[in-house]
Amino acid sequence: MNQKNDIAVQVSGLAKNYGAVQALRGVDLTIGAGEYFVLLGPSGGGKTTLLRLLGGFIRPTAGQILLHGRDVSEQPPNRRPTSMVFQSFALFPHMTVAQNVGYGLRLRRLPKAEIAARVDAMLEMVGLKDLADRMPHALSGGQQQRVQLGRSLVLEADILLLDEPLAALDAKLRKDMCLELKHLQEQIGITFVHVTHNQEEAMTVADNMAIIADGVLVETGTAQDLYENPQARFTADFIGENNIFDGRVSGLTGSGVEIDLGFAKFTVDAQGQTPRVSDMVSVSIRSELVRVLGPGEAPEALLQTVPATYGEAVYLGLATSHVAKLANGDNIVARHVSRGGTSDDFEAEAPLTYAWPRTQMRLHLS
Amino acid sequence: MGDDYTRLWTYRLKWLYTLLVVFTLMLPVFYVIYISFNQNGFGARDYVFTFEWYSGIFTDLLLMNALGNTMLLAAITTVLAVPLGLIAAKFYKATGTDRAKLLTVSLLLSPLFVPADILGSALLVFFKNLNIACATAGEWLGVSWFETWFELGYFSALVGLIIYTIPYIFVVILITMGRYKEQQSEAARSCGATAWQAFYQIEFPQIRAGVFSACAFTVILSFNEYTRTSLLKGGYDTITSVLISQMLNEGMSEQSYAMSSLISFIAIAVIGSIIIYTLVHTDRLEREARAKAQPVMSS
Amino acid sequence: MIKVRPQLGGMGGSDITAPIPASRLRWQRGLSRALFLLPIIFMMVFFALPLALTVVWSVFERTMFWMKPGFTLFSYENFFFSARLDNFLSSMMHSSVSVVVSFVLGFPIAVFIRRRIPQVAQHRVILLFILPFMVSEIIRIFALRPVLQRTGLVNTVLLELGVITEPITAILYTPMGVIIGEVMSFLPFIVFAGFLAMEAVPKYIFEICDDLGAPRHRVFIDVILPLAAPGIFAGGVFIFVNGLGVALLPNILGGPGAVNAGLIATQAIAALDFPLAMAVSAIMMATLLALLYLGHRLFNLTRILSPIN
Ligand SMILES: Nc1ncnc2c1ncn2[C@@H]1O[C@H](COP(=O)(O)OP(=O)(O)O)[C@@H](O)[C@H]1O
Ligand SMILES: [Mg+2]
Repeated sequence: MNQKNDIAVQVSGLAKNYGAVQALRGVDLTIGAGEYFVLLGPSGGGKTTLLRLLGGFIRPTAGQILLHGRDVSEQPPNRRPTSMVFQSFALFPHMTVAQNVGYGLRLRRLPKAEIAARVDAMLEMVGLKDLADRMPHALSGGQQQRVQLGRSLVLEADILLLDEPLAALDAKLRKDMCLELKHLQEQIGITFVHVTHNQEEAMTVADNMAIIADGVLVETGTAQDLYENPQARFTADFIGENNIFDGRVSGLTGSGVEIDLGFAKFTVDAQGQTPRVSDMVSVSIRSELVRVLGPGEAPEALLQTVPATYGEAVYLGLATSHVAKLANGDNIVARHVSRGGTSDDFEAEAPLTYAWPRTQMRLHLS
Repeated sequence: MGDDYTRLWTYRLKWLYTLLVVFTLMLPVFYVIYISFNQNGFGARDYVFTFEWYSGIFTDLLLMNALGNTMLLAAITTVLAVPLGLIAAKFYKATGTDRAKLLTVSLLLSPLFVPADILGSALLVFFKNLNIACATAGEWLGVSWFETWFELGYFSALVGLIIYTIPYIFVVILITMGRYKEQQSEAARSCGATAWQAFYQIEFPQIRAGVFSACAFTVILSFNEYTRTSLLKGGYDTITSVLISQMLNEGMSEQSYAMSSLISFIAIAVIGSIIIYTLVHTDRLEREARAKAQPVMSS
Repeated sequence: MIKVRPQLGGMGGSDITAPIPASRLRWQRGLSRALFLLPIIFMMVFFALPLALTVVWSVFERTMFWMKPGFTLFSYENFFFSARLDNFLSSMMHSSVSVVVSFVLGFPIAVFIRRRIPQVAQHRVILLFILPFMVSEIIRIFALRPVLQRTGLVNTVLLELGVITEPITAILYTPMGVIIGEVMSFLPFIVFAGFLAMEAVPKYIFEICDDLGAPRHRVFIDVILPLAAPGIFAGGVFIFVNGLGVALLPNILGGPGAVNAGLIATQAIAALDFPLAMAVSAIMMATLLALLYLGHRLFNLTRILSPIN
């Protein structure tokens, strides 16, 4: 029933306007059944809007939503194979934990004994066995979210929608619950669609993810794809820590693209893309791949180098960022694993060379 | 608040002033009640306690008849106006556009700003005109079943009362709804509830106190209303119209004192018990609200 | 990894997730829209429309028992070129005095409740002011007679106490009596409006002001008044308009000269002069709208609604 090659969500041309605000524009998206899918993006980008469209809480301005092959664009939430977990304040405050979890089963008019049995099993699963008779206001934030999860999962819906489910929790708890969510999903095997603006959270849980910003779906792929080979400049800017250079294509040589940045010229592999001369494009390089060469240290071949004026070191625990100024005034960052003791290797204002492997540079046409 | 302890006396004085104002506002009513138990009536030197003036009330047929009309009007007004106010409040919360919100709020609250006699007169002439229009249309069409729809009577009085009470209902319910989080309804929908089930199983239990207070207000306000009802009611009597005609014709007779006291008693008792209930109940609500607002951030 | 789960519909209970046919969805949506619009339509038809039509009816011609369509400004002439205008203007004066007195007596209570009473208890103290409002208007107004009369409560007590040697007669059947009645009737509303208005003044502002050592009257004038202005204005308009329009007040407490717009209208109706009554209503509505427009230009009245949003 839930084979991986099934398609759980298929969205085409989806758009939503709130009056003059275009919250979502022409989104096409496919999510496989049994996937843990994450919608990641900055606040106000339209993630919640997309999730609520899937859940049926708002109606699309244009476009179509197929869930397991069935067009549900016009159906209300209670007629969709989805269930939703909200950020907060969504528990029924006048019901106990067990009543909250059993609510959907009660609506389905299951026999009392069966409801009790299923609720018990679910509370066990989400680790709330001892709290069955508590009222929601007597629960911690993490426990409240577990109740929400239980309430949704007990219905055995095909698709679970989660809107920033961990945003109201503190950092440590968020990390733990992230992993738990992932394991829970693997265990029951249904499709999870999880909205977050937190990169680490997204990377922890996602099989696949989509970047959404300004109402547009920017890019989809696995966490590794998006981190290592982002197609869009926006993705490179949003995920990880990248140095991004904007410039104009000044020449094409085979698969090599020559880009004029004003203060330097880079040559980058086109990676199958087809830029034209004088297009505005961007080049990015992850900051952990950038090295700082001291004065007099000779660059190896295959390294792309730029001269820079050293600024400061920012100690971040595991890594230290070395920030310098380029000739055009932009910052460039090299991130190295911190070495004990010497956090300040370089003199401020020292003229240095920043270098990185040519092959690791990525070209972004958009 | 540290201030309260350093300036305890000003704090107490302010409390005293507040209570004094409430007491002053109630004083005439208390005085009327006091007089109503005096055998010798208003202004007499000696005070002799008696129930005498009350005993006359319940045997007065005119009065009992008026009481029946008044209660009927109050009951129907409540049954119609509270759902209307509730729907309006829900619409206000649900609608996305500012213009729709502004329209709803100004339409539902502006009756507060239209004085009784002005609204009463306008509605009176409106209904008379409707009545004439219906009669003309009936004559013209040769049918008559709708001719009496808009004659002054229960219907017109009800319209006046609904318009009078709906702002209060709207505000009371809207304020109670303010605490309610819409996500709960959405969560219910995603559990499989229809819109109606989500409303009466999830939202209603949480706004029940507001709806019931609104009902109590509506009953009392319509029971007490004089001006609009008397302009619109047509031929029959209501408690207030009987009372007013008694007061204007005989001055304040002992009977009037007793009747006024009785009506005030009932209102004070109803509202008093709501206030007391709220005092006990809000305590719990507030504690829950605070607990919900700041959940302990650990598992 | 992949478990076989029972399908939703097969949960043993009724199938509540089957799709709804498009036709049924359509009429359900239509029905719910109609339901939601019901209160608005009701208020449009039975409230806004009759009040708007007063303008039309006010220019109709008076007949013996009713009126007939036409165009005449006779009713307005009748209002503006007679003692009615004087009455109307002096009732405006009295109403303004009531607004000021109510504000001075009532607004400090609203500030006090917001500032000094713990959040949890604030609504309860406000509830106390609903109590007088729940006693019938006619009783509250009539009850002022035995209190304010020559032989009434106030005079008896003051005489006993030796504060006065002669009964005060200026407080009933005079404009003063009307003002007392207005204040007694409408004071709770300035407390309610003030309480809502003070929601616009966050509590930390007081702490900042205390920190800066601002004198109290400056805090009041520079901080509280501007922030709470829309609410205060609304409360003031309420009292002003009702002072003009509630006929019972001058009827029961006022002397021979005390006539306000409400009384003119009801007297006109009693005299079967319907166009005149409609003209008075139209004038009252114009006054109200002018005031609200003015207030909106000055303070953006939509700010009042922020507490309920
Ligand atoms: N009910 C609404 N009315 C008007 N605008 C809205 C509404 N909901 C969301 N928006 C707007 O739509 C855009 C996308 O919002 P949202 O989907 O909540 O973003 P995200 O969840 O990614 O933070 C934002 O600009 C937001 O202001
Ligand atoms: Mg969001």
